[in-house]
Amino acid sequence: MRAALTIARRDLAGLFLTPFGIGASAGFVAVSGVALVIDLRGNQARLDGWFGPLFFLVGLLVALLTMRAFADEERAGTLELLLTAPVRPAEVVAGKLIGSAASALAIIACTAVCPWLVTTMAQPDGGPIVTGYVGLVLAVVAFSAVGLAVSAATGSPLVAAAGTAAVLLGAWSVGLLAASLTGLPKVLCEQIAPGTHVVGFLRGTLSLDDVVYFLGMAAAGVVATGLVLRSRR
Amino acid sequence: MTGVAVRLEGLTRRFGGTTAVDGVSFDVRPGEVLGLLGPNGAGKTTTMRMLTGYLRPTAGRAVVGDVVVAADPVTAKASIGYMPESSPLPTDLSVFGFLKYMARLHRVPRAKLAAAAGKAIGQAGLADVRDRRIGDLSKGYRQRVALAQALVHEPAVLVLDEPTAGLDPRQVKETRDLIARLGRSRTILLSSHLLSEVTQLCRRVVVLDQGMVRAFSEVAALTSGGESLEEAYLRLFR
Repeated sequence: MRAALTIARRDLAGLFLTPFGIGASAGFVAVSGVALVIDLRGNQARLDGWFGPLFFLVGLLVALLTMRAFADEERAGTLELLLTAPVRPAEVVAGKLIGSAASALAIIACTAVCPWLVTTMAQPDGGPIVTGYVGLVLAVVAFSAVGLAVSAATGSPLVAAAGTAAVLLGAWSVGLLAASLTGLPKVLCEQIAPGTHVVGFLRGTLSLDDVVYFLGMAAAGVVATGLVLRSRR
Repeated sequence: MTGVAVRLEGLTRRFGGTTAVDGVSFDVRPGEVLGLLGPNGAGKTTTMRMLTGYLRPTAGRAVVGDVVVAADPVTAKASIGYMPESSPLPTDLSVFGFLKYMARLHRVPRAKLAAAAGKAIGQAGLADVRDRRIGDLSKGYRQRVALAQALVHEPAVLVLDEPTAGLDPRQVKETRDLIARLGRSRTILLSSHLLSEVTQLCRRVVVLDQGMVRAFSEVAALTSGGESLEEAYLRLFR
């Protein structure tokens, strides 16, 4: 576990020492601010209209962050140093997941200023704010695990970012497809799509189904990352 | 430990339909500096990558001490210090910060991290640039940082892939002197294109060609006809 934390700390600190990390953070917070302004145009002190797009944007943020985890290290050659150190593959994957997820969560924490601003002007329901952030934490972990698997599969950071974004956009799109289907295919598409499992968090409810969905996606991503790393070596 | 520090037995690696390393076998004795020679694409780097656990062999095995690398990579890697070709390093960290990070990865106890990094800095002659960002260093200093990270956990075996490539003559001599000093207490597998360097540092050499061992011999035996190592090397590839 010590090695995993060492890797995570290095990735977390490394991100915020680079113009890329600072730019990604500033960009995400700025876009979340714009989303808040648009949401508040309805003159209602509710934030579900703000959290909804945030779940989608988190996927794009994670695609940018996870491309550094393996693909960028492989491009730079430093992955060789990491994988020839006496660190178990599981520790490498865990360290990269913690580092990527912690980076995204540190950026998302900056958006807390948005709900705070709203509470200074009105009295929004606190429940959806809490569950909204719980949902974002789960989504970050799940999306990061998926991003790591894609990142481990390529030596090109751009391909990794585009690949992760494509996989996550594809998953969201499956939800749109469900509207034109009936029966079992419809149910399957709805269950696969992240959008279905975000609704509860936006409404202020915590459903076991939704929690299991995101944890399951995280587990699948972690296993896939390990398999990809193994097959490429 | 047995009579050898490192042993490669029929080591083979295929990438798709291409065989990069084909049944390579040799051993390195404790305290020996063994030269690994061969033209570009001969399989030197792939051989080193399998020895260090970065790549898994398609067939055969690498043994460090008594540990089969593929069977217990963590234990094997702990006793190896590896300087990869072209010295890839993170540019955003300071020299000291990077060496502490590498020491942590190599399971150096927390209380000894700073001392381990400091010792490697001293060994590699990096005291002047201890707190400088690696990205701001010259090629020569970066090579030394790459060598220092291989030393930071005081491994019994060093695997150095072209450690003097791209250095100016003074830096080549300094690095070569350092390797000679390290070779007094460690087992070293040294890949190099500089035959003069190999002559000075190594008693035995392995010559690879197209993934196979072309020669595994004492330098003295290769040059017994009054040839230089360069002439003997060229004769092998005629």
